[in-house]
Amino acid sequence: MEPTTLTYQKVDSDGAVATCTIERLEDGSVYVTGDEFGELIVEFTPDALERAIGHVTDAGYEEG
Amino acid sequence: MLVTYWLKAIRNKLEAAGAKRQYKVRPHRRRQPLSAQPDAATAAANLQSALNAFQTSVDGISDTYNLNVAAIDQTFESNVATIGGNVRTDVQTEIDNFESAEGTLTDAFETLVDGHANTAELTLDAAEALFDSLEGAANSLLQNENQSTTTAFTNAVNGADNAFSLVDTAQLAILDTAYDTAGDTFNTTQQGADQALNLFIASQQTAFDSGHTALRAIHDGNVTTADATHQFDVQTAETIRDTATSPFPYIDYDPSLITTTPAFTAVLDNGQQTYSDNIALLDEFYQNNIEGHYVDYDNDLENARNVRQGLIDAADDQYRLDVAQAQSTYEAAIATAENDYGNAVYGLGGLEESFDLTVDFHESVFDSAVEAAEQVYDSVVDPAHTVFETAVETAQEAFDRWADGEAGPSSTTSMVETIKVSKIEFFTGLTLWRVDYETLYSGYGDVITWSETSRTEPVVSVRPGGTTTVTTMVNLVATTTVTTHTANIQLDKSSPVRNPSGGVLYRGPMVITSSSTPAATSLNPYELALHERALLLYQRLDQIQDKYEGTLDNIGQTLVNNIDSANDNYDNLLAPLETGLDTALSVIAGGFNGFVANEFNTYTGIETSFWETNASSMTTGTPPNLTPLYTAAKNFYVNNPDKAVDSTIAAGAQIVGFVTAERALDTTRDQAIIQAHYTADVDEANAEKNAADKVINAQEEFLLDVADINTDYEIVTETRTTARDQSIANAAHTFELVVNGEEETKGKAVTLAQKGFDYGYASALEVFNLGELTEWVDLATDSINASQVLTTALGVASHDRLDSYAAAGPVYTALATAAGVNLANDLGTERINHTSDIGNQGVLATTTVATSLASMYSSYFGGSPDVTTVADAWKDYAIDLSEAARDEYNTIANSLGTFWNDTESLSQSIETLIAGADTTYGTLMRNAESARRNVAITSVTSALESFADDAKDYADTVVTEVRNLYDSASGAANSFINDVNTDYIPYMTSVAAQALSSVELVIDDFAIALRDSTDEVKTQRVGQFLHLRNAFLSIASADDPVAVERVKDDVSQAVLDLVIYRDEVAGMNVTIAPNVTPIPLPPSANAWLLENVGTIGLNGLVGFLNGFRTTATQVGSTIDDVLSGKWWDSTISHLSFSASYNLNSEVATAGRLIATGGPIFGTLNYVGVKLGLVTDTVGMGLEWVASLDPEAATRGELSVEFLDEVATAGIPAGPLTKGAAKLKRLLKLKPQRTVNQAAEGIDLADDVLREVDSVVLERLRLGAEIEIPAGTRGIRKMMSDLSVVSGNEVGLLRMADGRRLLVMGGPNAIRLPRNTARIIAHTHPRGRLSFSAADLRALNARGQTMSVIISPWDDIAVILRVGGN
Repeated sequence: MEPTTLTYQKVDSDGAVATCTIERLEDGSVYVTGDEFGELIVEFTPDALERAIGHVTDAGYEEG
Repeated sequence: MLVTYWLKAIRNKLEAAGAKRQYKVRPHRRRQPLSAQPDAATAAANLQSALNAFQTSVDGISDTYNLNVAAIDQTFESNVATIGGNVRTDVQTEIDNFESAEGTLTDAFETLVDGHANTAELTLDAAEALFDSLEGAANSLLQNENQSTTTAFTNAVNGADNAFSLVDTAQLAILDTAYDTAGDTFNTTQQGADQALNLFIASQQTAFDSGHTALRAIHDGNVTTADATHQFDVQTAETIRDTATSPFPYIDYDPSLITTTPAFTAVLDNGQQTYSDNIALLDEFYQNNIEGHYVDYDNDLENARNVRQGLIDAADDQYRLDVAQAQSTYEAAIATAENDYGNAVYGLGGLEESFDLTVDFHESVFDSAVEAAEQVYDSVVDPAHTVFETAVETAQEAFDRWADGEAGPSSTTSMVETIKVSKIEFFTGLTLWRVDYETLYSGYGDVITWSETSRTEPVVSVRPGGTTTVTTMVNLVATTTVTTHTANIQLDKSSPVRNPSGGVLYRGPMVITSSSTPAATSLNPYELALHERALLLYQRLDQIQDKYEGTLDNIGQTLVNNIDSANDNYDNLLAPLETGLDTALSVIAGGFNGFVANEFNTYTGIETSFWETNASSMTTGTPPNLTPLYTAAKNFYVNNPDKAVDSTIAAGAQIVGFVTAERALDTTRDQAIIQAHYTADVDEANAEKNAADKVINAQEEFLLDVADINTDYEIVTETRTTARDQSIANAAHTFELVVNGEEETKGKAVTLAQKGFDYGYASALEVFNLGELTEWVDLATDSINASQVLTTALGVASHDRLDSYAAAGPVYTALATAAGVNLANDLGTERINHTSDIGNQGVLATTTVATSLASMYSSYFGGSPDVTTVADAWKDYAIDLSEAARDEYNTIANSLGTFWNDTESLSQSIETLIAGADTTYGTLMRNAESARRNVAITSVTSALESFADDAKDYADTVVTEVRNLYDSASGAANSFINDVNTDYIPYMTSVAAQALSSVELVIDDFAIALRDSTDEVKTQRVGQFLHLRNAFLSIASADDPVAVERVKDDVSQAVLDLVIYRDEVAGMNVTIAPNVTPIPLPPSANAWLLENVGTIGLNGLVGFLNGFRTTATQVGSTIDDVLSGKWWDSTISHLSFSASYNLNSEVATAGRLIATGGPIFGTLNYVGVKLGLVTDTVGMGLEWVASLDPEAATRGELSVEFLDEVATAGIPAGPLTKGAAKLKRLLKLKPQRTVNQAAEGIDLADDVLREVDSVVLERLRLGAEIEIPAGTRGIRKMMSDLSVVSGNEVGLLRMADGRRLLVMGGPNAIRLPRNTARIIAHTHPRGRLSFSAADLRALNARGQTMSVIISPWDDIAVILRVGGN
């Protein structure tokens, strides 16, 4: 599986830009990092990437 | 074993055959129907109709089967759910009952404990009250003593203060008096001085007045003198005049004679004018001179003031210098004094150092005393503590020895088995044994017992009175034990019975007692009992397993026998049919062969004749006319197929008849085999149910025994623990009493040392203070002296300045006086001169006038000389008066300087008097302060010593009372522990008994549920077997018409093929082509004939039709051969291909045989349909049945693991829970519908028992992060269970602040909170025991080298190294 890196951003009320990164790794697992919510490890499932994206978008992040 | 081998074999064979058939199928050659076409069409239509009917029948069977199975499954699920609900309700009831009973017992126990606690508290309260009272009294005494000491100290200090104050007051009074005196003296002196000054001034004034009077007298004298002189001069003049006139008595001097004359008046007016003009000039001159003298005088005064101010300024400067010098001298003296004081008090080797050394010395004395007290304390407490530790160690070792199974000093661990004859069946001699087990622990008196009752077994061979040998305890647990050691058999010989196998048998009770040392001697009797009980369970399970397998063997053998019987019946009934068929086919074949032989002979004859006729042509090279030969050949190839058609029709009819008959026999045989399998399955289900029930019973009995043993174990453990703790508590109490006593002794020694130190300290302090006071006196003295020097210097300076001031005054006065004198002199001189000038002018004017007068008068009188003499006397008189004023001014100036000098002398004497008074005052005050401080120092020492004495007395009292209090507390605590322990044992025993009862009921509930569940499983399986059997029975006969029609169709098709071939051959125009194959047939027909008819003739055709089965038996076995895949192997196959045939041909033939169908097709189709049924409709049933083996295996595995877990757990705290959890995990690992349902009851109950985990689970699901303290046990198991129950990942994390948190993520996902320092472990719900790439990213981000992954379903955990990436 081809590794993929996605970047999501969110603008806080004070104008600061928070960033989080979603990495789909070679075995299909996904590693999410962001200062706001620490880290998220998603083991491989067919929808692992979608679940990770859903997690960060639920937190108000948008792809940027 | 429950194995439906026949079904499996059928399925496998069908699958194999189907695959091969599918592979071998190729398009069936069909030609246009000719004469046999209608028959073939009819046969095909009939076949299709039969197939349709078969399919309809199969569908119906399938539907019925499905409905029946569904109904059974529904009933099963309903019943299992009911069982699960019941067991949950029952277990909950037992739990409620237990909690209720336990609550009552606990309340009663807590009431007892509260009572003991109250007693202990009352004892402690009384001891504390006594302590408080005694301590209060001692404290009051201390306070009183302290108060007395303080009062004495205060009084002494106050006395000193008063003395000081008195001295102070007195000295102040003295000082005041001195001041007053000095003031008075000063005043007196001052007054004296003033008076003296006044007197002096008065005297000076008197002197002055006297002087002035004198001067006045002088002046008056001078005036008188001058007057006298003047009078004298006048008199002289008068004398002179008189003298002069005397001679001129006759002259009556009458100036009026002249003065009235106009000449005189003119002279007089002129004289007067001249005089006035001269006087005016003299006045002006006089005034100018006067002003010049005043200017000189002012200048002289200014100069005098300047001189005086210069002297004063010089005196001030000198005074400031003197004061500064005095101050410097004073400060240097003070600094020196203070330095001397500091060195003496705080310097090297000074008072403070001496004080510190002394205090250090006393501290060392104190420390030595304390150390000595500590040594005394340790010398007593250490041995006492050793005694205590020895007592603890002894108690603990005794407990450990008991717990570890180590025998006491004079005891051994052993196990006694008592085997009793419970019942003997009289006629059979079978014996029912009861085996009682006891594990003994003689050193401690523990005895654990349990009993087992065997099943009926053959009798024991006993030889009364001789050596006992137990020989036939085959299936009894006691077998292996009893035979290994000497048995003591006690027989009741009162009612002997005869042993049918020989010898004498005695009706019970017959007791065989054996004692042995178990292998597992490292266990205490309870662990030993558990261990032996587990072994017993293993043995019983082995027995059950052996029995079960034996039963299966018997069932399998019966099945084989029944199948053999069905086959035998089939073979026996089929044999006549096969013989008839063989005979008929032989006849037909014989007829056909004869026909063919005849045709062959005919052809051969024609060919022989032809070649004999045309032999020459074969050598001449001229081709003969082959038409006759080809015609003969054509006739041969036409006649033979024509005959083949007839023969095929005839043979086909025979085969159809045979198949029709064989189908019925086959159906009967199949149904018999199906029935046999069904019977075997049912028997196996019953055997399995029986075995399962026995396993459940064995497990139930095991669990009950384990629960019983555990209860005893818990009770005796608590009893021994309590006894151990009580021993330790008693030893601790003894030790505490020793410690309390030694604490008292040490405390008093310390207080004594403290008192000594306090005394030493007070003494050192006194020495220091006295020394410091001496130094202070010196300092004060030096300060006073310095102050005196300073005051004196200041006085001298002031005196000098005043002297200078005084000296400046006379200088000024002298200058001023001189100026005044000068002025006076000048003024006097000017006045004298002015007066003189005026006098001269008067004289002059008088002379002039007088002269004129005299002259005139003389003239008047003739110039008489006498008149001139009288006028000169009046001019001398005015000059004598001006000289008297100058002497008066000099006398007053001298008197004033004398006055100033006397005043300065008086001031200096007063200053000297005051300085002397101050010195006297400071000295007296120094002495008074020293006396006061002396009193304070000695009072402090006395007070400190008194405080030390009182503090020691108080501390001694408190130490003693503390010991008494601690002794009372220790005794109360020991009594409390004793009482609680005494009450705890019966309480704990009651609770344990109640728990045992509840556990036994729960075990019964589960056992009942399990038995009910297995019964339901068996019922379900048997019901499904029944319907499966019925389905198979129906299907067994349903395909028979299909097989018959199939044969008919095959025959008609074969006939049609032959007819087509025959017609093709018959309609062929034979043309002869040289050098070609001599049989110019169409390639297809030619090939067919070459391969079949042309090669093997009619036999081959018949063989083709019947599958080359040479016998009916072989025909009947063809199906099996085909299905077994062995058809190609002629050495073992019933397919009787000739060994002489080419193998490839055989294979091709067989392949075509299968491809085109044949007698076996019907059966094949039947089986194929059956396969479809199995696959499509009965598949679930078959799969389920096939899964029964794994289920049995799983159950066996579960049982073993369950028992292992119970055994290895040692003390199985909740073995049922563990077993249930294990069962649940295994069942979820290998989900089986029915078994799952059977286990639901366990699951439900298990869920109740795991309520605590549920709470944790709910918290985690709500997002809580649960802190797990370090050292928490069972966390891996908890994580595994949570992950199993929730399906989510569970992680154990270490945070940056050191906490360990348990978190739950989602399915296959986990979130790491911020500040996660380490990922200690996490679960992979799907069981993968390796890191994912995302795991590695998170681990590498923290520099972790390893972490733990837990596979929850397997309940295992592995530590994995990160290893790069």
